[in-house]
Amino acid sequence: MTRCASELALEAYLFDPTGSTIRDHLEGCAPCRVRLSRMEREGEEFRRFVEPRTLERVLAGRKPRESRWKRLLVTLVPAGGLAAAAAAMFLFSPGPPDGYVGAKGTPLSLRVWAGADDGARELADGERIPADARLRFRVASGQACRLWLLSVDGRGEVSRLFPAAGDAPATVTGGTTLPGGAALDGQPGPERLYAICSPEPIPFDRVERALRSTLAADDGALRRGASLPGLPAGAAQATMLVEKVP
Amino acid sequence: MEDPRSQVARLYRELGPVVYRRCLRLLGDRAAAEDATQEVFVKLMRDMDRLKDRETVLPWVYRVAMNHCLNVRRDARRRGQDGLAEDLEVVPDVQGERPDAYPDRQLAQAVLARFDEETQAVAVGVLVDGMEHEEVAAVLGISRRTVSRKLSRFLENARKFVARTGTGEAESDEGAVP
Repeated sequence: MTRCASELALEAYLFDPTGSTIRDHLEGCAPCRVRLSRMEREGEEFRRFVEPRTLERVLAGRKPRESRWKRLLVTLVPAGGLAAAAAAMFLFSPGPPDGYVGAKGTPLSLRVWAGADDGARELADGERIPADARLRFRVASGQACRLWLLSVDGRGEVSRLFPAAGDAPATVTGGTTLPGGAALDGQPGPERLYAICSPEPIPFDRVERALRSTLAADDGALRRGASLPGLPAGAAQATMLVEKVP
Repeated sequence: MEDPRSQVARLYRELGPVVYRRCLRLLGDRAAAEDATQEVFVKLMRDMDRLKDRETVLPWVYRVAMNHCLNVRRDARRRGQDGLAEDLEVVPDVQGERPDAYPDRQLAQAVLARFDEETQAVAVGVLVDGMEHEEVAAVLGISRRTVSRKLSRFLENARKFVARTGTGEAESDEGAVP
């Protein structure tokens, strides 16, 4: 009879596999391997979604907001109806082909769809949408570049949307539908989305600083969509506003 | 040399999953676990030397997270809040056996919130997480004997409570709270 490993023992294994005392046990214990696999998935969930949303507050030594009014849940796979609607839309809509670079002179474009179980539709800039809408994104760049997608709302809360985790921006080429999407937080007010794509990777901190400094310097910047200053040469920007309504 | 901000970010990335998993297991709700993870890590950051010590950090992080989340459960229950999982998912004791085959564990789930923090931690450690008494003792910084004593009294008091379910409160005993 072999006793299964405790949660702490499994944590110790994940923390330092080489120093763990349960390696042999794991090889012969299917239930423990299942638990370990789930723990690994939860760790990935933390790194992809929880850490990006919470790191700034932890660094500032602050507790979570009481009301949790800002909770953009980036999802790996949207819920059924939206996923189907979005997939159909991307496959069959007569929109611009891959490689579309937006308006003349704009090297980067951002398109946003809002969806519900009864279908998804592309949004126009400044459009009013339900405060808890689910969004999907598509960017197009004339050349391969490194992408960050982030948003900021009326209270100045910045959310990192894509890539949700990791230290580096994602590489995109031509037209790319971003995996997953975002569920808005349910709080009415403006939410501005920014796509930043550059030939060389830009640290997220730098993008975030540029965004915050812009908003701090200009009260109307959020709704007007001011471009972000101080980014490296060659960095392209695209932005879009949505107005969340109850 | 790593600046303090980068250091905290690195430690959060490394140990945050430990806290998040613990909170997810004890709270059974992702939003609550996310909030609790932040709160726990802010607490942990008050002792950076300890947080950086790879030899001892894991049991400490585990304990702080467990105590915090047990308090969250208890507070939520006192406020009559819904949303947190009533049942704790228990570790199988023996390969292949079903966890719900253990009446003591079901008993623990039913009455856990009625006990003080340390007794709750002992009960969760042994009955829910499947830890050995020695392991619980090391994590909580108490003796193995204390673990055994608290566990025995927990079970004894819990059985009395369950026997009287619907008719009254648990009998006054060490570890039980009103």
